[in-house]
Amino acid sequence: MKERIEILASGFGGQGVVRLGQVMGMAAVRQGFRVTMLKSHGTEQRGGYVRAQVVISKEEIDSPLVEDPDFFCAFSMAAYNQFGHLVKDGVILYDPAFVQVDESKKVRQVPIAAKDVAVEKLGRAIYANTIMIGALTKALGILDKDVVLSTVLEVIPKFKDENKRAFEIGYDLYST
Amino acid sequence: MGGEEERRPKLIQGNEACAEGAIAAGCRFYAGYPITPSSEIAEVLSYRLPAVGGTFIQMEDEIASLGAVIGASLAGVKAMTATSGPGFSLMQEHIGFACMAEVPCVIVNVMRGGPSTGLPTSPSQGDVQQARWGTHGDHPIIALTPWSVRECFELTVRAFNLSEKYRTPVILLMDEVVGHMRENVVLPDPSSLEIFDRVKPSVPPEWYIPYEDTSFGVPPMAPFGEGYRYHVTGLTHDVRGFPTLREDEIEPFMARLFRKIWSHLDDIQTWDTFQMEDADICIVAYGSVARAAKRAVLEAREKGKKVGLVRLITIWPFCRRAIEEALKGCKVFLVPEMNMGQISREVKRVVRGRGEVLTVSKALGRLLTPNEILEPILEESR
Repeated sequence: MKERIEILASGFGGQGVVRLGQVMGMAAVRQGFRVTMLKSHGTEQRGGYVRAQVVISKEEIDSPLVEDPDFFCAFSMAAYNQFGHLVKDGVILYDPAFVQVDESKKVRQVPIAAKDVAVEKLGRAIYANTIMIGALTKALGILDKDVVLSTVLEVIPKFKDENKRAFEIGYDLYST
Repeated sequence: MGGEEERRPKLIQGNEACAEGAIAAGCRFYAGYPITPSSEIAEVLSYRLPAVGGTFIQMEDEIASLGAVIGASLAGVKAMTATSGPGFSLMQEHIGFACMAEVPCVIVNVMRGGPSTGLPTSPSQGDVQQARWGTHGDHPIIALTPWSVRECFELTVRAFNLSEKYRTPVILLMDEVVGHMRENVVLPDPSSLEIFDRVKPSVPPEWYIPYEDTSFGVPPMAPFGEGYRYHVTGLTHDVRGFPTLREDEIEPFMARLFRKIWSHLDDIQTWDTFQMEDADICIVAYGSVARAAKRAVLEAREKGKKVGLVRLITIWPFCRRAIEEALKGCKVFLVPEMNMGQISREVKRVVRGRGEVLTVSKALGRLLTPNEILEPILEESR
């Protein structure tokens, strides 16, 4: 494992960006890692831009800034445009319902059709972020699947069956 | 708190840790008006305080909030409020009152971009000089700046201890990054903490002289409601608390107000150093910026530069000795801040031409990056 693993997630308010960061951070803490997580958002209650920056390390973390993300979850075109350039040799996971990728980028870009699959298989778009959490868990590779899933179900205490399925669907959507 | 569940590492925000620190320190009264990015402190205390028999009040504004806190403290209850820049501006008058009447209280300011309503959801360190000089008149003040979630807990406890010990308002200067950052933390066992409670009079009410000098400089404080009647005023007062215009009473009062802080700097001032043993360049940083600065030290060392870090924990009174000690080995000082250069003024004042003071002053509503911090030193060597 690298000295520090950096995760960046960004999208609109209400898409579950902060939730995603919180789940990954809590799951990492449960597995004995050190974690910092920053959330940034605009002044709006809903709809504004949101960003979560998570750093996971075995050592004490100094700067909590994500400057060179290993994983970037892009939930919106605006997020992709604003932070896509930070990814140097990491992986971009994006939702094609919102993001049209720049094919000329030299980094790995993996479509995770979170919103469409959520609507199609679970009937509601709100499960999209749990699908993304599933995909990110597999992409990360350092966190135990069951630990992340139990954290999801703890942080999102409603609709447990649906969230469990969403997580599994997302996990299978990502191929390494 | 207590039990195994509490000893497990948790992922909590600095603001939550601050609220838990207040409970652990014995705070049993909170009055405030919620404001981003400090609101979680009020949110947590709104249910934690009643659970331990304390009082939580949402007031009509920040002026009333600190007024209520001062009242609670005079009645013998450890009390605090939390706010951000705009609310901190409104509190300045009452901070002066608490200095003058020597009422212990803790004021948390989770700094956001300013002036005015500024950048509500973004970090800054723009209120550092306001914490020092925001209220009018000559007065000493104590202010502390945490850099981690755990330190938000620890310094809240310390803020209460210092305010009780020295009968003074203590300002906890957090910033949005530290307040909203989630970090894995195991909070200290409350029973392991050193808690200081204000000294009460040992004499009966009729012998009590509320503002009488002591060798320590801090008069014992009687809680209202226990039979001790005395006068509390924002006017300059004599030892009995009544207004005075007499020079022979003003002079010793002002002298004691300063002496009680200045003669205990050893107890009040703390700072931390990192890789300073062989450093010839010293970064002076505080709050969340110090975290980026620590990374900057490591990156500079990789490039062969002997850089060290002095991290200010007590920011007021300014830790002159930290800079004096650094001056033994360093001729270049670098002060990165999320403001236009507020603590760099203090560093320059201490260095006084004995070295060069470089600044990275950016009030952009975001945390400085390690690279930005190093820019002036790397430029120098070009």
